[in-house]
Amino acid sequence: MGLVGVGSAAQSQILAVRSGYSSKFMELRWVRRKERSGSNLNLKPSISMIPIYISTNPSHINLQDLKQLYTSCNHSCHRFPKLDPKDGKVEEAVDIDKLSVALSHSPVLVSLFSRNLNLESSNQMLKNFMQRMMPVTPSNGQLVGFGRAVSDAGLTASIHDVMVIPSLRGMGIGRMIVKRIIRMLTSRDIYDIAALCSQEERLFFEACGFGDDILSSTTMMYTKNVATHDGGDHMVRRAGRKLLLVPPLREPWPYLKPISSKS
Amino acid sequence: MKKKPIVCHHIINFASFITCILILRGFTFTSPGSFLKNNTTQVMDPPSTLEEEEEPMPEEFVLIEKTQQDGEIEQIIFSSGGDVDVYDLQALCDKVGWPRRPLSKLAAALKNSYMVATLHSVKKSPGSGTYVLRRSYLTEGNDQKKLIGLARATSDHAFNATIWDVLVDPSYQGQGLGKALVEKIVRALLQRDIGNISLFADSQVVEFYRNLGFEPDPEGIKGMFWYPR
Repeated sequence: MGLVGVGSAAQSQILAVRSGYSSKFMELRWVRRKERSGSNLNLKPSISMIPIYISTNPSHINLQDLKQLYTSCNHSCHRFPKLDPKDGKVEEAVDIDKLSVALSHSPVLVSLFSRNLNLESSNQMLKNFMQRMMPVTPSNGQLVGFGRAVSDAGLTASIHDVMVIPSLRGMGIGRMIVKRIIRMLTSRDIYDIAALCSQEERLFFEACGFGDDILSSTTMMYTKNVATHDGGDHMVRRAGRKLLLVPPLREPWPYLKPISSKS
Repeated sequence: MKKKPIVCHHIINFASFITCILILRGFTFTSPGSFLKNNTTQVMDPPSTLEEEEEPMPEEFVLIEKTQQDGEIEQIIFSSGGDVDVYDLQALCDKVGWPRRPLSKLAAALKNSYMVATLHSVKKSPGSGTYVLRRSYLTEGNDQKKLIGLARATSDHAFNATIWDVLVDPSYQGQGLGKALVEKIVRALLQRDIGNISLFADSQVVEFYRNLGFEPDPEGIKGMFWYPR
């Protein structure tokens, strides 16, 4: 067990510290904070390496913390969220029940914990020292990163909701999350991995090894809504800021009753 | 394999003793559940009220019925939630010219899809007698039942869904069957409040999906795919 340097961008270096108690679910890692000239007057010079704990164990995820993470990262579960026009903040908070359902149907869940190392004064030298000696665990760390994937366990998978809190961005953490998701999928023999990206997310996923479809397919999403289509009575469903039109019920062939009379 | 922590020898007061215990406890990674504080909400069990509505209701009904001149009746039966024979599906994929995929993966994908909608053609030869009655779409011995269309969707059951593998037998295309399949899936998804419905369309079918309410690259959202280096 030793230090293994993983080659990556010049901005950050990720050293994998393999400890004796890492199982397939969890790993301790260190991330180097990007050196910024002139802005580190507040930072203690010794704090440039940040311990993080990456886990793929679903039971490490606390729903309330995750909901808070969505808010901190200004990330919405809806692709067309309602945004406050003044500051671009997502208006709706995540529905916890739906989030729970989504998590239970996401075969791959990656959560990333870290510890706040901005310790206050040197009076608490001993306490700081002891705290720093203790490893980061999901219980004593803060949820700072997340990512999940949905899959059909055979052919395809899609990655959703990759996020890292703003203060820890730019250090390769997001890339670490995506790499872990990919590793879990490829270990189950799934190589067709897709990710829906907004303009802002494109660069990130390109850096993670994603690219445009080699078969030049066109990404399309269902956006038929009240604003774009008028017409008679339609059932609608809200998805973020869009009110999507539900396709009308297709009547079965007349004179025959269906076997199971649902819908 | 547990490692003993290194504790500074000269710190021997009570506070450090307690700290040592905490450090030792901190290394027992084998039981992460014990570290969840009592006041954290337990996760991962979907509330039971949502459980019942999760899966799309299986249904089956006759979409179209045609009578030929010789009295033979052909019914196109829509079905969701039924079993699909992978061999039939592979034969259908061959007919539309798709590359072959491993059967075991195909079967796993069908099994773990949120919804699989199929169209079967049932031809009833004249003289089988019972076809004027209500139960006539149950296939009987001398009927031919053939898979002629399929569409499936994967989903996280809450927010996101992707529609894959929409195909219709070439000799049955142009009748609105593909449209029926996709509309049905979209309807089922929206009824469960699954709002992010996406798909990846080949260039020749972009118009087809546009007519169904799909928009290419809406607000700049594109799909990207992973390529191992």
